[in-house]
Amino acid sequence: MSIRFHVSKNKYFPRDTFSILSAQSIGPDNNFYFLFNSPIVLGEILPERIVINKEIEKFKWERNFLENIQKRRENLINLLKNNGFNVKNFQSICPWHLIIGLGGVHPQETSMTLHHIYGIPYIPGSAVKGVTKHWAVLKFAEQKMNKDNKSFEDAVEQISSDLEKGNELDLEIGNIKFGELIKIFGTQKHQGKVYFIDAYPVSDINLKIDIMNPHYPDYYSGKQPPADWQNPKPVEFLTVEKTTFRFYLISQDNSLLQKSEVLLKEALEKFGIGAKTSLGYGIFKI
Amino acid sequence: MFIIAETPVHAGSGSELGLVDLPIQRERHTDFPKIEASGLKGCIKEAFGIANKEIELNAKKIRPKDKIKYIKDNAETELNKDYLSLVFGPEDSDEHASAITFTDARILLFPVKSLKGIFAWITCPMVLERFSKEIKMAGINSSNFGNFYTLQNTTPRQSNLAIESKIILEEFTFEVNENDITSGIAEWFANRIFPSDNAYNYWREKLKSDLVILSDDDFKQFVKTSTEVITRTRIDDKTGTVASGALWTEEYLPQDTILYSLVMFTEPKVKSDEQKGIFKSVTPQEEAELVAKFFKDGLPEIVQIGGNQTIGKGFVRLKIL
Repeated sequence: MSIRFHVSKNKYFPRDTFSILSAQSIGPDNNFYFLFNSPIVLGEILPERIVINKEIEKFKWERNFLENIQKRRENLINLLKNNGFNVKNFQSICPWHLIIGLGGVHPQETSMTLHHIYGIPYIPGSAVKGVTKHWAVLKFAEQKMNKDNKSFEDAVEQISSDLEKGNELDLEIGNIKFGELIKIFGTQKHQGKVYFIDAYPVSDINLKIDIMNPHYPDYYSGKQPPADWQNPKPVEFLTVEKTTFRFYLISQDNSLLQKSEVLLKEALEKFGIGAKTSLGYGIFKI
Repeated sequence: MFIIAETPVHAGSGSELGLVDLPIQRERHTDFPKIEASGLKGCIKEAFGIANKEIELNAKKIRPKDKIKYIKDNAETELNKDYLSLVFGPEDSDEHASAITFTDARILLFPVKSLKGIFAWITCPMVLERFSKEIKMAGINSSNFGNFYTLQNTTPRQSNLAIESKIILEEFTFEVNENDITSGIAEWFANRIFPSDNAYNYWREKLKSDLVILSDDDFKQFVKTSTEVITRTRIDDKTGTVASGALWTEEYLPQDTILYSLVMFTEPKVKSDEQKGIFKSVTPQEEAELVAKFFKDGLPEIVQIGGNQTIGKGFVRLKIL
């Protein structure tokens, strides 16, 4: 693996940092964050074009480093077991592409969530909890729709707001009651009883550059109606593919924990996590 | 007591004038991050109760949640009160004070991404000076490392961070020298901060080589601007996209931040000797030592501090020096 920064202009970096970056060849002992956040700037005059450095998908992390993060994490979880918590964990592969945090801040305007210190892709606990909750709402809305003969949209809206406010509904799916959902996810007044922990990659992390091609760029930026005379503007962005993550859920309540695990697994398998799930991104094999 | 952030920690200060909607607590005079003693104590008390470990005191085994027992007129009587509230103070009355005092948790080592070596732990002379003064106050002798101000911009020997004696932290470059005293400091911390467990071998070795002592001003800039700021959104269940108006930012102390707090003990502050139960000894000094043993042996290794527990934030590992 030999990747170069291709920093073509120094006006975006302090001068001393620029001279080191432009001479530096990237290996596994470098923090990937620097490489990911230094895309290539094309053109000397405005508007400049910022494009992705295609070599970055070759980046490989040191296995030893990833293993030691995992070791420490397991140690943490084991200690929690001794301190009155129940734990559920499973690992699962995302066979195709996964992109978390596409809309984050990045020079290229398409981002990916990287660990703040380690610079590795991971799935934040907030995303894990969010998708589980969303999935649960969709499931219960379907039942509500059939029961009350409502439209699906109205049912979703009602379930979502009742879950938020903690209003008990007489619904049950599988062996999960609506009241239990309220306990799992919590409300403004009561903290959720199940903790959704960040999911870290446990195998090698494989990066893949993907492309989206908005056909009506002027329409999306609000300037013109969508029309075929506009030029498609391909945007390349980074995703993670064929990577295994380890998910952890903890709670003092074992029954709620088991039910949350069922919901999370279904959500990962049938809905997907992260951005572009409707195109099949972020679907896991359970 | 060392506090190691195993996941990001949000000890919030409410709202302030600034870019971040939910900032973390900071010291008024230095702007260094801190965790309020009251928050720290509350979390530790709660975790004490959940873990409810067995503790041996005066050759008797008790648990924090056990009711206090005492012997009066040769008969054992049980009070409607547990050892946890005797030591940490009662939950909802002002009957007596707590027998344990914490200081605010202060910053010791702060992690910053490094171009080479993934990340560095940074500190500065002011922080080191304050730490060594405070542990001396607690009666712990550290080695004499001399004047910390002579160690600005140094790393230990065999550091993984430098590219031809320059290190890049975030986008800033620093010229550094390797220094034997800094090696000594890094080793002293590495052996005391991380638990002896095998899972920490890698991290212990990393700290021995990847510590950087910066100037006070540079350190301050990093702890102010390199905390983890997370943009949170709420998904509208109906549309499946971000709900309008539901976007906010939260500030966290990054994973691997290391703080410390001094813990002090006194005799249980109850009026009658009977209420002291198992802590009853001849002198207040002896009783305070029993309280200290109660704390050390009953302390859970992991507690959760600050906000957003349900998404796994705020797990810290505690280690007594």
